[in-house]
Amino acid sequence: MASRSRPPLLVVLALLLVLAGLTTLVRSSNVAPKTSSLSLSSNANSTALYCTGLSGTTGSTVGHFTFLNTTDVTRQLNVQVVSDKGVTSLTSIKLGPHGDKEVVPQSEVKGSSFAVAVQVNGGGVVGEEVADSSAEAPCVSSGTTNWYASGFDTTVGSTAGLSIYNPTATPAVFNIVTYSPSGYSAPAPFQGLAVGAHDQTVINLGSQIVNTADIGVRVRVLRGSIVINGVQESGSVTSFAQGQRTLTRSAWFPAVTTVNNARSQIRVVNPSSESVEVVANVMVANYTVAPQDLTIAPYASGDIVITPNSAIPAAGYASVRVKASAPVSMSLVTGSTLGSALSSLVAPSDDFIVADFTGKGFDAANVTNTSSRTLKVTFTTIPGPRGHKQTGEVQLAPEATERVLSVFGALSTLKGQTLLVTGSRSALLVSLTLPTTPAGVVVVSPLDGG
Amino acid sequence: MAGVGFGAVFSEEEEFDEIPESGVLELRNRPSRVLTSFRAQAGFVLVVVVLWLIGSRNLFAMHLPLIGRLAPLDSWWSTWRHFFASWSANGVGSGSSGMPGYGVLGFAGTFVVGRMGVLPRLALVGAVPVGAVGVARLLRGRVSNRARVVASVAYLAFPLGVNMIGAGRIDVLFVIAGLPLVVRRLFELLCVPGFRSGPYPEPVPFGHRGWRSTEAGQRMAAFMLVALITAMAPATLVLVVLIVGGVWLARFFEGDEFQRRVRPWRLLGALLFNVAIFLLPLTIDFFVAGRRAFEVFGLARGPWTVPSFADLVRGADGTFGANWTGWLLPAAAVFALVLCRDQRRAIATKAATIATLSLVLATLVAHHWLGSFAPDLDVLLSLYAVMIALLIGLGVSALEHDLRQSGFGWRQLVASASVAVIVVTIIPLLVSFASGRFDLPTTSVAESLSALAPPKAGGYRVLWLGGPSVLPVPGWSVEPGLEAATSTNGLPGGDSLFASPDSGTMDKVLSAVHSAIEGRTVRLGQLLASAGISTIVVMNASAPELAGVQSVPLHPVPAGLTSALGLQTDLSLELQTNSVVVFANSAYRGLVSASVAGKTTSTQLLVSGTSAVAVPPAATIRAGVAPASAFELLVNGTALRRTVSDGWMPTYAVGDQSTTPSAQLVMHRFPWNGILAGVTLGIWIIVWLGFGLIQRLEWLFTGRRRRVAVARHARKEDRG
Repeated sequence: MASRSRPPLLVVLALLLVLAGLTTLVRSSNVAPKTSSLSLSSNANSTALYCTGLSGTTGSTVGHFTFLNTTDVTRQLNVQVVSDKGVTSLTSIKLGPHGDKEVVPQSEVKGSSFAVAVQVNGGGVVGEEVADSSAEAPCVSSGTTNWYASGFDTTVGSTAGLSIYNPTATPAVFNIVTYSPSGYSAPAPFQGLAVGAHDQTVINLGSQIVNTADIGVRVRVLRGSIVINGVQESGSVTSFAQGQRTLTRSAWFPAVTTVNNARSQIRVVNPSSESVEVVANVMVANYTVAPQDLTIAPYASGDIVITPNSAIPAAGYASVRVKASAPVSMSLVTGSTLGSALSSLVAPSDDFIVADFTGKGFDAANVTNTSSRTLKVTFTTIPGPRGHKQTGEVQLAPEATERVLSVFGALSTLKGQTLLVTGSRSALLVSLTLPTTPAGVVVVSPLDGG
Repeated sequence: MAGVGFGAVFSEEEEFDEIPESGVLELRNRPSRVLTSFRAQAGFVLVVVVLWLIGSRNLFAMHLPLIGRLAPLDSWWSTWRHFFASWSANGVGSGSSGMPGYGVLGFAGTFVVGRMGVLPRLALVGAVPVGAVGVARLLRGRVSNRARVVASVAYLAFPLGVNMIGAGRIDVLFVIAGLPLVVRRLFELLCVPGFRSGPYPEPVPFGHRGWRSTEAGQRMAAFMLVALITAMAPATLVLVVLIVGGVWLARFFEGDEFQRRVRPWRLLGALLFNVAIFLLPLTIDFFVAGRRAFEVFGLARGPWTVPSFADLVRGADGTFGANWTGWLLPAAAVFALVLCRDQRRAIATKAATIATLSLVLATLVAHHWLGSFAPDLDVLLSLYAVMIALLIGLGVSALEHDLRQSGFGWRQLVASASVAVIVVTIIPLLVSFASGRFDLPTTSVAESLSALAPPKAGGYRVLWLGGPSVLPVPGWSVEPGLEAATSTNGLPGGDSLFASPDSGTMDKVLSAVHSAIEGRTVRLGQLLASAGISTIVVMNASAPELAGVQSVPLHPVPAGLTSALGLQTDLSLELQTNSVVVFANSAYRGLVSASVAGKTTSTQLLVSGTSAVAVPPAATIRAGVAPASAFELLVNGTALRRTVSDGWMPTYAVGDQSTTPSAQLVMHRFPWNGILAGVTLGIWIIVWLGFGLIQRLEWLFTGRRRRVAVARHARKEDRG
């Protein structure tokens, strides 16, 4: 039988093949999902929190761990406190809805430094380690295999160390390399360090990098994963540095002090083999400030001074946006004549907890939209057992920074309050400083559950 | 008859195939005509066979690695027993019906006198050549012998076969071997032009001689063949749908004179129904499996590991053919489609339509756009390979017949190109013969793991996690690109060759792994301890990379898995390489454990049906085996009352005893599976007897000799 006209079937087949071929334009990547205990509160089987960095009574970071239940249900916590002497204690704590509890490690075990591992029978519990000196650091929910931090000092009157805890059953092995204004260093005693399963240890950077300012650190974990907290003592000031797990080309520091008698610097580490150009755009209300730039040599560190800086007026808080030509590690160093505090970069996220763990309230409590589109921000108070939940929301303009109390009218003060701040996208940043003189020299990281 | 120029090489005259017998002696003075004589064709085939044997020389004797589906087979008797078994060790234990694939293996083992180890080697060496012979049979009577030879060689040279040998995929090789026969039978039933021109013989009663040639007999033969292959690779049913759908679609756009004789969808419905009956245990498991039912056809691979569209067109799911040479055969097929006319075109359009549908479905599956319906990509490519070979055979026939009818023009150029392409295609195949094993690895990741047994072995399970194309044992999907399976007391073996689509209690393990990936648990070891899992093996490749010896592509697991496992507080990293990551479960407490009130630790017990062991008095015994209803614990010969903990574990309370009691865990289960397997086997035997054997064997039942029975039948016919 003679065939009908040829084109239709071949055309149909060709069209099908072309459409199938166009699917190559759809790229699929193998990316791990982002998780945090805040986002998992509703359906997590179990979550964990790890903190390290507090010291015994002879150290400078004596303090306690505080755990806060942000959910409406009771949570059971199994708290294991570990000391550098290998001593552990295990306690069970029940946290009622919106309840909190403190654990003082030196009351549980003997040692010079402590870490805590908490297993929770669900999500929505956050933790903070609070030193008596008002230094704070959030507890994290997982270890890391790669860690960067910048801005350490081992000059006279300062000590810098890394408090390390192994949260898993796998003995961990890691290497530490450092970067300074004079270049790269990989001290032999810092290579192949080991910490056993569920063990804690402290590495003193000053033992190998002597009398040096602006030290950057990279910890590469060869086996297992560890929790790391940088501890910086400068004069009478102590601070924690949570570091970064990945390098970044840009960063926001929305509350950098520029007041008289204060010091603030952006310290940058370049771990790459190429020079890096760093530009800091400083925004001070009612003033126009020229960008501050810096070139950092390969495998070296550098800093951009915000205050005292003759090009930047002393006018309260400045919002600093930093961009680099290659991925770098950044931190903010603030202080006064008493000493300097180190605070790590906070990455934008979609939710944060603002909690007054010190009981002093906050001097600056800001929300920032780091994206180029409007961001809806929701505020929800986490009341005590007899309190009432209050909510509010605001549309935050692109790249705008606002004070929390000015956009959330339900609260007149954040003292003693716990607030959940949620953004409609992962472009939200929360910046906090404690009330100090001069203002803004103690920067606190908000909790992001990560 | 005489032609000129290029067309003279190809002639429609039959005499060209029988030159020695030809009376036209001047033909012998013509320029060489490639593969025109029987001697030339036979010689060529012999050369190909010898080369293939040389290319697979190491497969005869080398140690077969534990990759793909090359898990060592159990004995002939044990393999049959798996088919009739009331319980299988897959997952955490299952009472699902025995998979028909065991029956097929047992049946095949009969022909090798129970030497089951020969079967995998036969499949590796012989499957692709058997398929090539099938292609030749597919084209018999429709094209010349030369075209059949070329099509067969094209099927040999198609990348899929070589890659599947290198991956140890016996199941896909089984499809490669049998699919051409399926295509032929279905084309005949669908009255594709050239495959059945005349009517079927008059109906004959079932069981009588001649029934096989009737339409009913032919349909049943096709159904049985499809069922046989589907037992080994269930995705074959999808191929059947593609074949019927492709023929229908091609006729929708270009009808032919025979299309009104058949109702393709009725045929398809009948085929699916009959295959469901022939594979009754699998059919029941399919309906019981619920949302996992479609996983019987295959598990979704991670979109980051699947072949690209270009690779799919080349038929290259592996290292062979994933370069420019892989385009040659599809190009030759396209040329053939362009050149074919008349009846050849009627077949070619259907083949092209089926090939296109295969590619489109494979693309949709590769991007995971069909949800849990993810037929095995390699099985889909098998159909594509048959169609390509079919088109090439038709193309050669078109060169022999259709080219002469047209004047010199682009057709001649296309013809030249297609000939060149076919010739060049053989070269990569010859190169692949160098290793003697088609790059089948000499060792596997699984076998390289020596530290799987926990220190105090009291019965343990290993949890295998990896991509569906990497794991050496079939399992269930955790998420696209991640399959989970277990093995008991070591490496996978012959008792876990097939997995029922119904995951049953294994869902607990799958959910726990999924929770870990999503960050919703940090004590995965504790969650898995109840299943007796002592070790977790995460495989990114089926074989280790050995410089200069073997190179195996990486198919990484989802990015979050390894990091999630590293965050678990009760998993200890034991080994980490590019190919494999191994974690030990510090919360492991044995497959069967005894705990005593007031003590925080449990004691591992080795409690099986073969021997009794001492258990602590007043202990609670927990057995990590499912289903709970199938197991009984005998303590000093007395069965204890059973409860269930964690929703699935059989749990027994040993009362206070004056002396140390001894316990024995036994399985008590009504042999429904055995009955079902027996019924299924009975159906196969009865239908097989229906192909004329009932009449031949009638004398066994009537007591009369055959001659008497035949004479009686003849007298009946005379009277009728």
